[in-house]
Amino acid sequence: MVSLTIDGKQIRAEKGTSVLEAALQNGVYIPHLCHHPDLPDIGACRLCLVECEGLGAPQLSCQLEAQDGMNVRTRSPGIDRLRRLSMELLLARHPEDCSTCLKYGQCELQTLIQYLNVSAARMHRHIRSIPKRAYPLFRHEMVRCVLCLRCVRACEDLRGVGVLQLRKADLEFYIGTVRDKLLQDAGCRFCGACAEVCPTGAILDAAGFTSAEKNDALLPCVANCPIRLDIPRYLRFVREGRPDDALAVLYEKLPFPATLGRVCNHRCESACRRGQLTDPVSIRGVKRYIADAGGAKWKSKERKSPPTGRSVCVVGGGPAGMTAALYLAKKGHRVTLKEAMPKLGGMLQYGIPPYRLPRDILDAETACIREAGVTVECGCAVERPAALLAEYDAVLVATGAGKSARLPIPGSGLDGVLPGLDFLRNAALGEETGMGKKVVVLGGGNVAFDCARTAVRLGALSVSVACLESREEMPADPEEIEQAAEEGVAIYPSRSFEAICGEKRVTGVRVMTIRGFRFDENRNAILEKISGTEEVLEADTVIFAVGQRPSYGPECGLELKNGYIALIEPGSMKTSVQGVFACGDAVYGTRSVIEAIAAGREAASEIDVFLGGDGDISETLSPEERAGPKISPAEGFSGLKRVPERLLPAEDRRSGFAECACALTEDGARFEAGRCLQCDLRLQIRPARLWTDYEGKEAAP
Amino acid sequence: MLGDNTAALESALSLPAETLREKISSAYLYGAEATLGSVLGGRCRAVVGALPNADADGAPATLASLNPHGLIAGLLAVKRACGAPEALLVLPREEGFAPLLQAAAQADIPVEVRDFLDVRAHKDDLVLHWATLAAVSDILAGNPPEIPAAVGGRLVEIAPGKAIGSNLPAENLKAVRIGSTFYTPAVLGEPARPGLFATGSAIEPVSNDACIVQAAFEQVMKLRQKCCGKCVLCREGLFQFGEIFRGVTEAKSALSELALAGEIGAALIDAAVCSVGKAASSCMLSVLEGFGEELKSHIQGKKCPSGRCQAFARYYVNPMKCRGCGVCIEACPENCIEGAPGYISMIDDAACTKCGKCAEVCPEGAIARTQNRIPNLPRRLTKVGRFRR
Repeated sequence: MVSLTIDGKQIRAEKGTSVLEAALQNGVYIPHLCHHPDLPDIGACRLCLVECEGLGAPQLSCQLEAQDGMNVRTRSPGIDRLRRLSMELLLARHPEDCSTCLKYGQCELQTLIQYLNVSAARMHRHIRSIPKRAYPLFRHEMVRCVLCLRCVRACEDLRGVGVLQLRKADLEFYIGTVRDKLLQDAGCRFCGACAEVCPTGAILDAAGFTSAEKNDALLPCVANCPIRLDIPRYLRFVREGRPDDALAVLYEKLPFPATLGRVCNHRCESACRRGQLTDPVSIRGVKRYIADAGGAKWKSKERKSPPTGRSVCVVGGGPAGMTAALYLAKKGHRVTLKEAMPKLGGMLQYGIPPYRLPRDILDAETACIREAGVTVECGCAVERPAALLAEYDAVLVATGAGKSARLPIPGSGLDGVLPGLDFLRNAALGEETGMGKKVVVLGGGNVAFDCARTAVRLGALSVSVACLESREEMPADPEEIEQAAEEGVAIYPSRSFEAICGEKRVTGVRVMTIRGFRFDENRNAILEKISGTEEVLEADTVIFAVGQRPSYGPECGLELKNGYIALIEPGSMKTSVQGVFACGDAVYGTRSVIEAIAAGREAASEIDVFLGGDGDISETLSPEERAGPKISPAEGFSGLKRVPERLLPAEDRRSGFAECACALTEDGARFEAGRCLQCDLRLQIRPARLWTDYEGKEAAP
Repeated sequence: MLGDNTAALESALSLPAETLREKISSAYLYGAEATLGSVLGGRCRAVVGALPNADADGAPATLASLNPHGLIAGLLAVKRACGAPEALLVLPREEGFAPLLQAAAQADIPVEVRDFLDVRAHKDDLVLHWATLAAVSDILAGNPPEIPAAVGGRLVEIAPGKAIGSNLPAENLKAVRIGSTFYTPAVLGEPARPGLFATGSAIEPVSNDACIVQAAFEQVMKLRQKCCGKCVLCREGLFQFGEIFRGVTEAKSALSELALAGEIGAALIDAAVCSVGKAASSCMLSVLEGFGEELKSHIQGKKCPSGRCQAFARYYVNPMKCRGCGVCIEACPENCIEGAPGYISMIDDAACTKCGKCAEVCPEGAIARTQNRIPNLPRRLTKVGRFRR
């Protein structure tokens, strides 16, 4: 450490620090533009001039190493004059369009203009007409560029990419690329470092955001993940050939990676910024690869708190209940998990068919619940959860929404009309489903397609899916619809269900084509039917897959709201009975597996606090290392297409319950991980601090 | 210096470092007032032999073919004398430098080809002008080094202390440009010293027929060609210099701009990290200081003393000579000459762009160009022969 005086203030700084950085780190502001704390200094803008006792002429503080005993003054009339001159010269090439600039209010140049109180009035103006250019993720409005070269240094020195450079044509300088190629063609990695360091509105993010929104806007994959998995981090480990460490990142928040690697609805992928270049990174596919390839190195770092002597009963062994039970056990509580069905898993076990999620995979993953010390009682239905408080300090109800709704249309009570979940459950248990040979499934979500594809596998001769939604609006995952169609499932979108025909046994479904539908204020569907389009879809079996309800009724002893368990406090999982908590589908209706896991984690944390713990269920299992900032250029990077998912041939799929989708190979997984833009690296760059952020600073006189 | 100094190489390699150091300390630093001894003391990573960016295409480049072994000897001698671990030779390009490349290869000296020397990349190095290296080799060979300069693009040697003017015609001189700096002709009488060549090696006369502002403008534009664009003060300052000089020659300038030019010049001459900014600011300051009257004459007097700046010229039809033939009316690209057969032509001074085409075509030589006041002319169309002063 060295000790020096700046403007009469004693400050200490690491040896080797520049006077400028030493001052800034200690809250003393010295104006600067080309300097950025994460980039090498070039001493080009000359705003950071200071006077240093014994050195005579003003010095560039970014080029002056802080040394013991230095006495530095950051202001004098002479320095002010020189700074203002530099700024006037710069402003001669900068348009006065602050009020229409997207950077308004966050612009370093703008605040420097205020601080130094200058304009380019004395200068010959020098505004060039450079057309705006829209890139994926970025906008270049280079007419505002003041050539501070931060972007060039970020691209070259920080990232090692070197796509942006200072160029000269006809005596004019500009920031461009080799041979003035488009960023996409020049090998740009779209990491965003240039936009991050640009002090003015020249290189902008296409999607604007405030500093509060920045992290989520730049890492939409993480922001969109209900459990906020650190996706860029595990992708990086995969790219580096370190699946063990990648798996550790997953286990920090996700107890069932192999399962989610198959059935997650991957909202991360829909948000992935890579999608604006070509296709999103196959994040789910990489997750499945990690779960397959990663070793159990993480286990050694797993949290295991000493016993607290408190007990919890979790009712319902689906993803929400299992997750909550696991983390409560890790926090040292004595946990009992009661599940009505013979095996753990809930919808994973008895809803999602095995061709999407093989049961050996699922069972291997749910084994961690017992390993964590949870007492699992399967085949144990709980009628009145609140009564468990006699035995336990807290109760969590995570019983899901396991009852299929039945539409009140004529014929819905006929023989051969099956609730979708009952059908799937029976199929999973290997029991008689009551299915005939000609099946019509009503509904357009993933459950409908699970039913239809299961029916195909159980030997139905014809299977069709009919739903209200148009083909584009069907809520099922597009790949589900596509694969079902390949397996011979006929799809009748935009149909109203008029009646189920038949005397005693179903003979068909009468449907009409609709132009569209909407819901009125009482949530009744208003259909716009097309007259003369009536038709009958022949069937001996009709399966309802039009929504699900919780299995609990008013007799369970907990207050309900619209049929779901009521929570009595916003942001909390408390039910009407003190000590009884509820989470997951039982509270908010059917959502996704990953949301159930998020709910289970939140519930575990809240119940831990209720039981006297700190509520902290976070774990650090992966190596704590900072990602290197270098990424080097890659020709053709922007055009890299997603590895297509490999499937079993449709013929083979129809004949049994074997898993349809094949895993990514190691090469495939590393390729996909390599397509990641590494948006997280940008967050390592220290954000701009304006002079107003420094204490007690006033603008120059 | 201008002969190949192979003899120096031997002493550069054989003399003990201390002796070497004593011996070469008196060598000049080309372009500076100091001697080599003043820079040998500090630690440096490498000794770099290079041409200054502002003069990389100037005549000193011919040292490479005239005295390749001398340059190498100088480089090696300085390297040994200051104990630098490395030596490096920087060339502006490869073509035309075969003898030097060969000599460097023989002495195992690494060579870099750069059209622009990035001074920042060499901030821990001792960068020396090729002429300094040649001077070192002269000392080693036992010859007192002379000072190279370029006259008419050709490299000549001037003995220190001898007047530099002996190589130039002394008549009809308005100024002398040395490098990018403009001096009054009195400089020709000054004894030659290396510091005179701080902004370049060329000695060029500026005759009384030339406009000093135009000459300075051209010099600034040459330097703008060379500017690398990194330093704000150089990049933007040179732009302003160019615009200011242009404004003066185009009669679009105010006196306040000279103060601005002086302010930028003073800031840049202190701040410049390489020779381009130094040369441009010296150019500006030397014109402001030595030729202020000529600048003011343009701005305040609305007159270019040499008559070179078209913007100040005015064309008029001498009413006594014009025969009313109308040839000028046809030739004027701006259609700003009024007239009729047998009438005296009249030039609309406000619309005239001073292209001079009318004067070229007039069979009577009646159209005149002047920097001065225009004499009394007809105010409306007047028949040939009817005009009276």
